[in-house]
Amino acid sequence: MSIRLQDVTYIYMSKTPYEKAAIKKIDLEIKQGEFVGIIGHTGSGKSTLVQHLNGLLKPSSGMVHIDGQNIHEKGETARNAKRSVGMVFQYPEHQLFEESVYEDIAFGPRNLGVKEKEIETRVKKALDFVGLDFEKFAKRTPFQLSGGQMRRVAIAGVVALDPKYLVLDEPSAGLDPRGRDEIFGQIMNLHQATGITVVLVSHNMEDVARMANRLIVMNKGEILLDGKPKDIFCNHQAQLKEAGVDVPPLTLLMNQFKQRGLEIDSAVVDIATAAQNVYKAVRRG
Amino acid sequence: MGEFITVKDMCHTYLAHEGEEVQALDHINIAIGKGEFVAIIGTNGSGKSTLAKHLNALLIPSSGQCLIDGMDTKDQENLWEIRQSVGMVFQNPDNQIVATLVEEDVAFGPENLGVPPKEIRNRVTEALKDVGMEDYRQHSPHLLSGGQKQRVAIAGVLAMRSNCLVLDEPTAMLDPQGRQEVLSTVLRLHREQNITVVYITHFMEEAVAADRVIVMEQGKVVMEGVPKTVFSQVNRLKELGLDVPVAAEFAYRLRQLTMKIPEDIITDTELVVAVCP
Repeated sequence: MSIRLQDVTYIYMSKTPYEKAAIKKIDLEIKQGEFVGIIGHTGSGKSTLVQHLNGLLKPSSGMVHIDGQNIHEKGETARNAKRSVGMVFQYPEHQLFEESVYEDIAFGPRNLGVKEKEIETRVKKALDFVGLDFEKFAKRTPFQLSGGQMRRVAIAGVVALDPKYLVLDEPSAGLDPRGRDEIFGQIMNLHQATGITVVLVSHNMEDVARMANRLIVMNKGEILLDGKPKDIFCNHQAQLKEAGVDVPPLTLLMNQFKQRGLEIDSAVVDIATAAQNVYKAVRRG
Repeated sequence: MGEFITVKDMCHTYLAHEGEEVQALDHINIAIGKGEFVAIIGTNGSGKSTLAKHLNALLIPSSGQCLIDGMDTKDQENLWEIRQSVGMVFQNPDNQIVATLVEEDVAFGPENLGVPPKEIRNRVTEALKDVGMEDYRQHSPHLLSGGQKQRVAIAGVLAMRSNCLVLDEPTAMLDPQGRQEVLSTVLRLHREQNITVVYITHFMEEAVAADRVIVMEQGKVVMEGVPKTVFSQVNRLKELGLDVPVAAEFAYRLRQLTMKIPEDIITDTELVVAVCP
């Protein structure tokens, strides 16, 4: 069970003077249950790449398979395969449109022909997952919620589609630190509780480092690095720099300690452990 | 350093859903000097943006006063002058670009002010140079990156000869490089042209660059001071739901592990020197 891209190239404005290959010959397999982070500089092809995961874009050449099904074939099975990928775009709250939170979340499943009773269960579950109280929020208009709450309603709308694969493009952009931590916490819970596959596009290196078990770094339409976040942030800093991607601030700080001669294990992604390591090293020192 | 912005006992109330009154700003008192760089931080809904919108009279206080260079924003007669002297840059770069060419976009402000064409051309050239976008003069803004678009928006403000820039989360939608471009542009303008800057952000590493940091919570100013004083209060900021710079939190953890680390550390370099002298 996986999403598989084979030799995928996508060319914008093909056969015009502005022709540009946004992604080139991408081979990638995202397996069920993975938590994949995708990072890259603006224009590196991240968004183009993720739009191939559920068939929003059709490759100029190459093939996309979801669970073994070529999604660009005609017919019901291909359509269902595409539907197993839920996509949360940047600023998803701009897509809210219904009169109540309940109706907004119910819109997707209803379109898929889900029965009303099942819809209600899904809406409840989805709201629960994003940490909003059903009784309190279901009847409210989505437009007078705070930014963070609107974002969560929008994510709930995708979760209610019951996708096997959840793709999120910058879900924390514009949220304050608390809102960001909440959203990421909920995505993490969802991943752990249901085993849902998560693909997360983010500029926030620390969060990617902490949550993802696999990291893909895009550069100029190609996959530059693909591996474990700790390994990439610690051992491939020159390549990250080349890709215009920041190393997490904590890794930078740990580098500085090393340069001053402190012997520490710098492959850490949380401050508490890092502080412990430094403390031990100084005491040994 | 004279005061440029004076906010006295200012309140702003608006009606939310079901006729409920919300006090977005609750007796705010702030004074910002000419040429000062002030960062405002706070969670969503703390009143930062509402405050910013008072600074060029997009909103008028429900009670209290907001004075810009001595002019009361309540006074209709001052409106044009206030809007000219305080330029705003918002979060979404796509919502504030109006023209199809970069130079036309920058010229939009001065054109509206009735500046003679020749002078407009000079101002546009100068403003684009100031933000490092002179090579993009004839470009179409929608093909620029987010950071470039924000710099064009800043140039638009400069071309109006505003002496104060109010930026409301200008980097929230940008990638790390775009964020760096915008911040360094603002810092340089502040340094070289003595422009007063009010910079709202969620990124603490940006707020660290300011002369002074104001922390807002539920419509009130709850902390205020130089970055060192504010960011060394790790616990307090965390309670407010805010981040602290990595170095400050790291220092805090080391202190908890009984290491002797000075209280006012907020940058990596300071921390590294304190740990390995």
